[in-house]
Amino acid sequence: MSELREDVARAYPASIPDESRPDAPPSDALSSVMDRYARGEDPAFDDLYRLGAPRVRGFLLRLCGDLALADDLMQETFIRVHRARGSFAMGAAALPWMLAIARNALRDHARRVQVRPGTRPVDRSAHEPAQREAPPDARGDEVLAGQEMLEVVRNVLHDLPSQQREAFVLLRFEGMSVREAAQVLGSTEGAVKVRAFRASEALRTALAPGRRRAT
Amino acid sequence: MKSHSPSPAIADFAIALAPIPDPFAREGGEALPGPARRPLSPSPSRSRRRALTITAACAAVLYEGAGLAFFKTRPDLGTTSLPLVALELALPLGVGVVALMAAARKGRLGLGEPAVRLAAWVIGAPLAFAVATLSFFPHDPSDAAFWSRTQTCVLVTACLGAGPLVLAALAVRNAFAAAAGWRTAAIGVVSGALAASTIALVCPDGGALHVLIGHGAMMMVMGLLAAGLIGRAARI
Repeated sequence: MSELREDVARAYPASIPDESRPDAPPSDALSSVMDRYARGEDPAFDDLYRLGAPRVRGFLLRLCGDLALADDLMQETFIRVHRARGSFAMGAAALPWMLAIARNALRDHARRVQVRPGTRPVDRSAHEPAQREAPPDARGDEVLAGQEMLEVVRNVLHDLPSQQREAFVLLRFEGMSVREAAQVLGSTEGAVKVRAFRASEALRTALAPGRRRAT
Repeated sequence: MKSHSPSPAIADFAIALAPIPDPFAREGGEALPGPARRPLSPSPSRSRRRALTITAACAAVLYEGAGLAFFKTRPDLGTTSLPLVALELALPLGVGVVALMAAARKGRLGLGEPAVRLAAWVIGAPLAFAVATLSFFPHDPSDAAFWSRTQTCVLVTACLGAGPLVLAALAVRNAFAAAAGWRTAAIGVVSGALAASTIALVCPDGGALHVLIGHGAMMMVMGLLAAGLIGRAARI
């Protein structure tokens, strides 16, 4: 699997999450903007959106796999953030708070879909991965192998139970600790570990060389 | 029995999860849509919300005072054992303080106490009340009127707890991002505890079972009611 990962890294460098996330805004900047907004400074909303929206959208996209739905739910999340800004604790971390709200928005959407069949369900087929542009110096076999691996990961993530997917996404792609993920999910650390472990096992099984070719 | 603990071989999650690439890295980095509109409807700032919470708490205490005036204080207040009355007041108040702290604590991330700790406080505090009541209060005299007296007290305690519960529902709207069910249950226990303290100044019956069922059970009932009725409104 490590060879494949190297292929993916060469063909699509952005898909390998950087543990330090240099592209992400510093979370303390987001927290201080959220703090200003919670104090009642309305103009801080623009900064809050600029800093927080990419993280919220990425999180929602990884959970639902549908870009249009992720965008809708991101807007819903920011409306909820606005309504509840007074309950943001002074000195608290804004990102886990916002991700917890985004997760609530997604769960409410899923519930609405169950109750009202007319509501738009998560439709992954409408948003199949676009043809990715690999760097010009990438080899063809690397590109193919990378594409294949990303597709397998995408499919397995989609098929996972939502609780496993949430735990895995928070730990692996959002770079949270088990304790932080447990707080965002309103669960215990043990439960989060077990869910993420099961998700990673499903992914590792699907990515095992023989199995991957078969799928 | 099925084991729920991960294999020791996967103890280090960073290592276990590391080889899996992010299939949404590219789409996630695409240009963001602008906000649909900048929120125009006013929403309470932190200071306004704090003021609202304090007002609700004061109104709840006033409601209990009004309830006390309406139902009249117990006739034996000057003659009965003072430590027992003090204990009858202090025990539910202690439960209320514990539940209030559990609900109000912000936690390291500002998401409140972890759910498991909240659950322990919300269930443990009323249980401790039950154990203390059965240990310290005298046994009830066996008479035929026990259940009718207890039923009356349940109704009065429910009336005394309803006001604080409604006020709490207004104060905690859009307040909890995570573990909203447990946190609103804790708020319900606080309302029940406030009512159980007030009824101690109304009802002269100090029998252990009567205090437990007629006065204290409302803490658990209000906790369940709060989680079921206001949990959704309190969740952000």
